[in-house]
Amino acid sequence: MPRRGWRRMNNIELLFSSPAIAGGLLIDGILFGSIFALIAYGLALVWGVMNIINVTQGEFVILGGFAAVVMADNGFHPLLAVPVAALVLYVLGRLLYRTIIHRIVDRDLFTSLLATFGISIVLQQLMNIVFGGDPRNADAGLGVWFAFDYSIVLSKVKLLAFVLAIVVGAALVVFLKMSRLGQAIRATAQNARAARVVGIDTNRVYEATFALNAAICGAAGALAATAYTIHPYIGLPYTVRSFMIVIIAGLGNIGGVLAAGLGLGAAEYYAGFILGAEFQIAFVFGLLVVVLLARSWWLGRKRRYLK
Amino acid sequence: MGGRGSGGGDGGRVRGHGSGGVDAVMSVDDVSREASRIADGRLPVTALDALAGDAPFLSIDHLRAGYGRMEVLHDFSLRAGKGQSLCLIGPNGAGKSTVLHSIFGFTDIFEGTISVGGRDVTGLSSSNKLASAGIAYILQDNSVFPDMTVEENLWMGGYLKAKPDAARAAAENVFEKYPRLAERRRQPARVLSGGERRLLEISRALVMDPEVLLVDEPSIGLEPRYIDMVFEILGDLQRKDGKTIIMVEQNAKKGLEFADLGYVLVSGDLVKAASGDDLLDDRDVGRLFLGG
Repeated sequence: MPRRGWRRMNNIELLFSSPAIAGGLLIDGILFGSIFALIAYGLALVWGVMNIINVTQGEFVILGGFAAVVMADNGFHPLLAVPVAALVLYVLGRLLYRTIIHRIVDRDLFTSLLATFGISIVLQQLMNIVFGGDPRNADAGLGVWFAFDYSIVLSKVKLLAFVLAIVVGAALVVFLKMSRLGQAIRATAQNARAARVVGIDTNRVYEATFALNAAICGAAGALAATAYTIHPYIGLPYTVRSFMIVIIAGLGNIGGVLAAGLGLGAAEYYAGFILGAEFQIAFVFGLLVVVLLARSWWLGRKRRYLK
Repeated sequence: MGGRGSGGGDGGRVRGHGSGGVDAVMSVDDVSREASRIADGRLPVTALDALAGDAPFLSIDHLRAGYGRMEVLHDFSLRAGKGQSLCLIGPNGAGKSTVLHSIFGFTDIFEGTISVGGRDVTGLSSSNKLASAGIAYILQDNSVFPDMTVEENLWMGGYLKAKPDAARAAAENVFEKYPRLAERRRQPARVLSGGERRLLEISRALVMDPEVLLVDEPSIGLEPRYIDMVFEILGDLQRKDGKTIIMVEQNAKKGLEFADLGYVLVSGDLVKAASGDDLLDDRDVGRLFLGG
């Protein structure tokens, strides 16, 4: 398709010739990326503490988004939905832990992948039944800022979502370091047997961790829905993004998670601009393949050195 | 001597490493079979009482316990007086660690009772055992929190204390007692040497000021020079602080030399109980567990 190829070349040229467009994309990407970082941090938490890769991550996000949509439809400010979505998802997280997740904590990775994948399908279908399949958005009505002579357009709600994502992330770090439950979570992640020996009820820690992650995803989803559109089947890209970020940053590295999240957001926006918006998700999945290949090459190299 | 070696062939002589023969080496199954033969019949509980000076502080009565549906201990009883130390020995899979796990509440108990100082603690959760019944478990092999500092590790030992300050005060006491740990208080526990780690594991258990210490394989994975240090520390805790110590030790000789009492377990049954010194002199025990 020569015309399309021509358009891509054009777009790349445009990026170089117009710093305003390039800068705008970078800012938009970074703002979106902060939401990815939040979701990835939750994933890393559950992965590190319970050794479960939670495939339901994206569905939690979309559920939180629908909480914001419903509240906006009923005349509430959609940003009020951030704590509400967190609370709703927290309760759902505990419920899921008590019914299903507690059975798979000590099982192999395959079992937990399968179980959480099953939960994600059920949640997708339920959301489709309850909210319908149309793309939705919770309009916060905040408007935009213009900078540099109208060449950069900054949506206030995206900026606010960015700030809130950073605040939630920082609060989480403080919580893990300072609070009693946070200490118990860290201790369990580092050595679950030793945690039981000092009297920590690890089962309760697992439940709290899983519910906490769901709450984080819910808050992230409510933020996402104010700035971007959601529908019941758009959860998986969020799961893939968070998985990719954790693979790059490693478990328990909050700075790395943030950097990888923001970087991914920016990369996605550039890719979307160059390839066309319809390829943005395809780019995410393609990048996952690249990251996994790079990682396996990297680990293979390390192994050779160890011999 | 035929049939004692695990190979058991009549003509073919099996050779061990270097010039040593392996005639004296026995398989686990053989040890178990022979060990059950040396049993002193049914050990009456009164005999156990007498060993504990007729004033038992920790008592286990007719315990049947295990994991899930699997029963590991069958009708097991134990008596230890206050400030006494008791070492459990026996072949692999005899249920030694299961005794400790049962006392601390890590197993499923089907029948029987466990009591400390006259109080029935059978059904208490682990955290209640630690917080209110004065029982602490010192886990075998690497149970520190590697990415927390030495200090934080000790604070975690006081996780069940109502006030974090109380845990911090207890940690200070530990630092006063063991300057070796104090020097490293702000370093992550993963950089400690094997001996320091074991010291941290033991002292972390002391933060809750327990009466009974359950010590699982104190010498495992340690360099020889640290093994003596660990037993010295445990001996100190027993004699100076009056702690009651129940221990499982794969180095049976070390364990029996240290402990006042020795119990021999085979396949979940108690087959012999005596003072540690008597067991050291026992011909059968020597042959089966102490390497001739």
